[in-house]
Order: sequence, then structure tokens, then C-alpha cells
Amino acid sequence: MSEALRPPNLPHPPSYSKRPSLPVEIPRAYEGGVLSGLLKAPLWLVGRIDDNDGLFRRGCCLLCWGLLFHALFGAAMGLFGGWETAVMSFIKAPIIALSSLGLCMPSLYVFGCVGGMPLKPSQAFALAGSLLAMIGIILLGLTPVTWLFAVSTHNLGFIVLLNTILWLFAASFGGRFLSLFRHAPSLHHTGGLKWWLVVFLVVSMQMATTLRPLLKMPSEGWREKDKKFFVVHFIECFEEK
Amino acid sequence: MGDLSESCFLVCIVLLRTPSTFWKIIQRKTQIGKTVLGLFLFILVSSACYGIVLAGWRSPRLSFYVAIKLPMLLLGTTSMVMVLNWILATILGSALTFKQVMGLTYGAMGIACWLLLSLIPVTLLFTLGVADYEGTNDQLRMTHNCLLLTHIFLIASAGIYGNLQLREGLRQTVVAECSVNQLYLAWIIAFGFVGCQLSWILRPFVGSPFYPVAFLRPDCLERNFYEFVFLEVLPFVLRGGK
Repeated sequence: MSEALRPPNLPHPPSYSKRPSLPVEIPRAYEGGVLSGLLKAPLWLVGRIDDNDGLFRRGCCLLCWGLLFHALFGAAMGLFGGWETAVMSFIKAPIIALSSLGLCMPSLYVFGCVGGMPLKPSQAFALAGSLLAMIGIILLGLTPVTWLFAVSTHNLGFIVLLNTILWLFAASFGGRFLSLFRHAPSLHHTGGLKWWLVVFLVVSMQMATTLRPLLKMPSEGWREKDKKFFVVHFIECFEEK
Repeated sequence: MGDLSESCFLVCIVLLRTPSTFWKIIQRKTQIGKTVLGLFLFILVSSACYGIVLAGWRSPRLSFYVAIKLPMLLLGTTSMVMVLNWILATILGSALTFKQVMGLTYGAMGIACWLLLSLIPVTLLFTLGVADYEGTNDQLRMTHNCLLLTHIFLIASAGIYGNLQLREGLRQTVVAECSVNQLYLAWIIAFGFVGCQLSWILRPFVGSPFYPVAFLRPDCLERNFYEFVFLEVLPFVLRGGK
């Protein structure tokens, strides 16, 4: 190739994958309430948890909001089976969320600590409350969607699949919130929390199976008495007409 | 006695809350004997607690047996590979002493046991919420297989995560010339190879509903784990389950 035809040497394009991330400044103050902070300035909440600042009050507040949002989503989902089922699911959905979180609290603390995130029990509590509230907020936004499908279809398999996908979608935002802790000054090793989130999701699905049904009234009492593995129950829902 | 139990407790807390400090203790070779003793007791107690819950669905007698067998499995595997681990570490030029190798391997197992201990409420949910000890043979088989799958998932999570921490420990303790990845891989292979066979000998853990409850199966020393996998499980899978 002659010198005239040789293309000029262009500068190398910037490598975006290796670009160092900019240091994120954690806001010290936020004007609104704790729920609004979780939604609009989650880093502020991450900073408060890292600072050990008002954890019990904030954790309780977020936990209550999270449970209320789960209850509303449960009611909308339960409308598939009628008003009576909606009332039952309004009560069951927050119980499922709370008991799953309760069972996973020891593992949250241990997975966090072992992963290099030296959590205190009060920080673990506030973190768990924030996670539940974050999942709850997304579920609240999805409540009209689940209501629309609940009242307009009779296909059980479809409704089960839809609600599972919506819940996993909401849980992914919970995971996103947990990953924000990478900006925290002392609790920045989030590797353990990712593993823990998988355990929490599996436990939540089993807890929902244990407290079933959520979409129709049980034959007697407030739940089915026989025991089932969540995968088996999920498959059976698709076989049921 | 009071001092010993206090130091055992402290070792376990340091391992949980600041693993990097624990690896520094091993690197500086200070009080490794006490540290290993503390970890030994912790692994014994925590794995026994997990064992009680693990076999809870079958019968209280099997729970009692597994509370003895699970510590035997974890401590037995760790102890059996210790000399091999030390030889491998020496060959690869890590400059680790035998005591340090003990501290590292028991440390990794201690982390796995912390995770198992924290997963006891989760295991309890599956034992109480999944296992119905009544029904047809197919239902019982399904229940047993689901429980087995859950326990494999939980124990594997704890084991993998504990061993990931071992890599970090090696990074902090070996000399710069030694390849951490090679040493880590060699230790993991040795641990997995011995652990699978020991768990095969010490079975049952979950307890099949089609066999009587026993401390060990009568044929425990007749075959090995790898024979079973390569001569029975793999051909069965390759023939499409026929």
C-alpha cells in the first residue's frame, strides 16, 4: 500500500469499560421524609445507615410502609378470586414479606459480615427495612397493573406467572438499592449481600407457598394444610384449569 | 477454662466481623494453637446444630445421628487434607508453616459454619413447610428429592462462599512469589475429592423414606462416590432417564 493511500493514525477511542468511576458524594441532609428519601435520594439513606444515624426509627418507619405497600399489592392480586380473597391476601402478603425477612435476618448479618461489610445488628435491621420498603414502593407502582389483569382474566397460570415476574422485577430494584452501598464509606463491600438476596428470594417463594392460597379461597380455614415445595406448587398452578 | 472459652469466642467473632484481622493473626503466627482449638470447637457445635435441623423431617433419631455425622464430615475432611495441603503449599513455595495451613483451612471452614448457623431458620422453614411425611411413594420421593436439592443449595452456598474467603486469606498470608490461584485450586480439588467420598460413607444425611433410619448404611464401604456417579447416575442421565 502506498503512503498516500494509508489511512492516518487515529487516536485510540476512550475505553468506557475501564473508565474510573467518579467518587459519589453522599448527601448529608435531606428535606423530605424517610420514604421520600428512599425513593428520591437513596444515597442519603445509605449514608445514614453507614453513619449509624437514627436507625431504629427509620428502620421501623420503612418497614411499616413496606408492609402496607405489600398489603395493597396483595389485595389487588387477590381480586382475581373475588373480594373475600382480596381481603385474605391483603393480610397474607405482608405476613409473607415480614416472616421471610425475619427468617433471613441472621443470614443477612452473617453474609454481610463475612463479605467484609461489618454490619451492626441495628444497621442490618435498617437495611432490611429499607429493602422491604424499596420492593414495596415498586409493588405499589405495579398495583394497578396487577389489578387490571386480576379482574380481566380467568387463567390461573397466567396470573401466577405475571405476579411472579412483577415481584421479581420489584426485587431487582431492591438489589439495586443494596448495590448502592458500594459508595458507603465503611459498608462498601456488597458481595455478601448479593448472595443473601438469592437466599431471601428463595425463602420468600417458599413462604408464599407455605401460606397459600393467595389467589382463591382455601377449601377450609385460611390456608391449605398440606406441605409443598415451591417449585412443585408453581408447576401445579400451570396444570390447574 | 474460662480464659480458653473466652478466647475461642473471640476468635469466632473476629473471623465473622473482621476476617482480614483473622488472616493477619495467621500471617503473624501468633497464638495459632489457641485459634485452631477455638475454631475446632466452633465447627463442632455449629455443624451439630445444623445437622439437627437437616434431618429433622425424617425422625428425631436421624437428627441425633446427623448432629454427630455432620461435624465428623466437616472436621474429618478438613483434617484429612491438612497434610496434603501443607505439602502442596510447600512445593508451590508459599512459605506457610503447618500451623498456618491448619489456621487457614479451619478458618475457611469456620466461615462456612457461620453461614450454616445463620441459615438454620431458612432450613427449618423448608423442613417444616415442605416435608410431609405422609402420602404415596411418588409424593414421598418428590419430597425427599426437593429437600435434598434445597440442602445441597444451602450447604453449597455456604461452602463456596467460605472457600472464596480462603482465597483472600491465602492472598494475605503467602509470600509474593507463590501463585495464590494454583495453591487455592489445588486445595479446593483435594477438599472436594475427599469430601464427596466421606459424605458418601457417612450417608444418610437427609434420610430417604424408603430406607430404615440408621447411623450408617450397611453398604457404606462397598462402593465409592465416583463409581456411583460414573457407573449409575451418568449412564442413567445419558439414556434419558431409562
